[in-house]
Amino acid sequence: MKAATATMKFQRSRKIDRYWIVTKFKNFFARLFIYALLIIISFIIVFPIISKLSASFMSVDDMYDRTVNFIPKHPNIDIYRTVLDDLNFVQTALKSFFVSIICALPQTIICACTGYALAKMKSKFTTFVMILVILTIIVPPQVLMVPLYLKFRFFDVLGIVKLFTGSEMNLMNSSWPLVILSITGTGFKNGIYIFLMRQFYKGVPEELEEAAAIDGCSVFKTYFKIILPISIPMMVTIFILSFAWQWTDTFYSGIFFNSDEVLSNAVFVIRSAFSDAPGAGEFYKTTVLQTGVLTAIIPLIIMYIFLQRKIIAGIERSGIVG
Amino acid sequence: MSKENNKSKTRLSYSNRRKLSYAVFLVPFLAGFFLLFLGIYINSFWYSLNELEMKGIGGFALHYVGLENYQFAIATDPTFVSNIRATVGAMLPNIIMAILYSLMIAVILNAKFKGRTVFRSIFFIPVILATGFMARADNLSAVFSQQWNSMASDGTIEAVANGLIDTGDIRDFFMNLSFSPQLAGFVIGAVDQIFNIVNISGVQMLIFLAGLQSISPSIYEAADIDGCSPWEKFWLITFPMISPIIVVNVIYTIVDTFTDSENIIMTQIRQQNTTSMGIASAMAWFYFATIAICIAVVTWVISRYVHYQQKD
Repeated sequence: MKAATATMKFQRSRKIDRYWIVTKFKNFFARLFIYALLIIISFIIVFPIISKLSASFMSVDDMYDRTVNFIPKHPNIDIYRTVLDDLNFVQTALKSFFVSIICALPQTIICACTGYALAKMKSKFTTFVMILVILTIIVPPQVLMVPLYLKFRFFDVLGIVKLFTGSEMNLMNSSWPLVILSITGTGFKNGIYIFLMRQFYKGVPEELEEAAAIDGCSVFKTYFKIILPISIPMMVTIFILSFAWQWTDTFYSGIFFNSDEVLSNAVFVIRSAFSDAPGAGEFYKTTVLQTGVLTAIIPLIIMYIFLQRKIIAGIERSGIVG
Repeated sequence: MSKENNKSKTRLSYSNRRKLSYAVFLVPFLAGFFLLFLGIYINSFWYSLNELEMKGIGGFALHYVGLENYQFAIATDPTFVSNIRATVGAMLPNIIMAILYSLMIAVILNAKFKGRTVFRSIFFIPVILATGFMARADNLSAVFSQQWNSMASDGTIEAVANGLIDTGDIRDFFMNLSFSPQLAGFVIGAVDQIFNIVNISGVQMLIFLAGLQSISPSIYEAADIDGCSPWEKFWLITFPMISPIIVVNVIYTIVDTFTDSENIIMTQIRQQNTTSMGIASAMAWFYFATIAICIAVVTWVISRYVHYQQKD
């Protein structure tokens, strides 16, 4: 009897053992498959950038040398020197950073608040506002280019400005148009941010608000003390999107700023790429242009590496959702 | 008695007071919409009902023509409606592929593994390129290249190896790698397709990632204790919890593919704008109405499967 149970136990443990090996094996292949997939797709994404990166380190001789493929024979940073010099990089990048921050911060907060109200306010009115939000999502900014320019070139709110100063304000060549668009949640792709936050807050259980309300919290206190902390991952994502899009935006900054004021536009009017100096051939010009673009996107990628940790850091706090 | 009645009349009820507080959150958006954009939208809609006559510099006169512009766009213009039909048809596979792909990648990148930060950063690159930043540089390079080629054909400058510029193009790489033209064609087609999907789904991936991060780990712990397989965990926990975000991504994908400035219809509207602004406005409004209908239909279909954590 005792021996029988012992054998059974032994058999069972062996069974588990074999099963363990099978899972281990499966896991190994699953891992292999996932890594292969990620590497292939990464390759597709990164390849154009790598080729630009390799060209940016080439000397002029390398550019016209047929045997040079990807790895420059005489690597140097002359092109970077030219580009950083032409762009006036530090000053332009700081301006870009400033503009992106004053757009991204208000957009994140305003869109989150609007989304929250749309998710939790139980009223017919929200359906109406939702339709307006969808309208702003559908109509692309490109078709609004001229009206937007006119709006901010002759800026006035219900005739109030004219009443006091005698004429409309000219907000061109300043950050005010972007600030105004951002704090009203009507900037670039803000409709989708509002919709995203609304969907997110719809997934937050109502018990949270009920409990807070029973404890005597007002709507504002509930939102800023309880709801806002759990929405950090979403808000960081919106901040990243908003920042990255403002940083690389050519549309709004093309309307509101001088052409070389912010990085996203300055790289397209970079002096060396459009000069007709002798020796400035096609490859050289192209490489200068591409290197300009590279120097503009590299700070963004670095920023993302730091900020994406914040998306993860939200986990512990966001434990309440669900 | 009557005093108390008065009090309850002047004072808002508790739920109304809360509604009013929520409404405060909506003030910025509503102010922006009504003060900045409503006028623009109404103007544009009014143009679509009129014929614009240019008068010298900056001046123009409007003649009310009713729905004539719409009639022209829909009935007379031979390409407009068929272009819309083609765009709508091309949209559906795009949406499905983009959503599946971005959800898959987001789930993978959400798990813990070595090199996650590197892959996350790489998959962030399409988001940066979504504004067409790099595409614009590539277009400009193509202009340089053309200038150069025309100069070279003139014999003014000796033609040089045309390799460097096209290295930016991944297709050439595979052209050089593969062995037979059929295989090359197949690989190039597949890579093009993947490249396209990867490029349009960067944003969706990022949004999904944030959505996945918001799911409580305790649900997964409970599922582990109950002995759920990863497959079951995905379909019974991750999928329902992420479903509200899927709606966002579907709408984003629809709008993004529809209003991409390289799109046939957007190009057509832009070209029409130079000849007749009235017809261009009519086309734009008709097109936006089509997008709205698409969004309404798709969200109606999806929202029956969406799970909100809410008491009914």
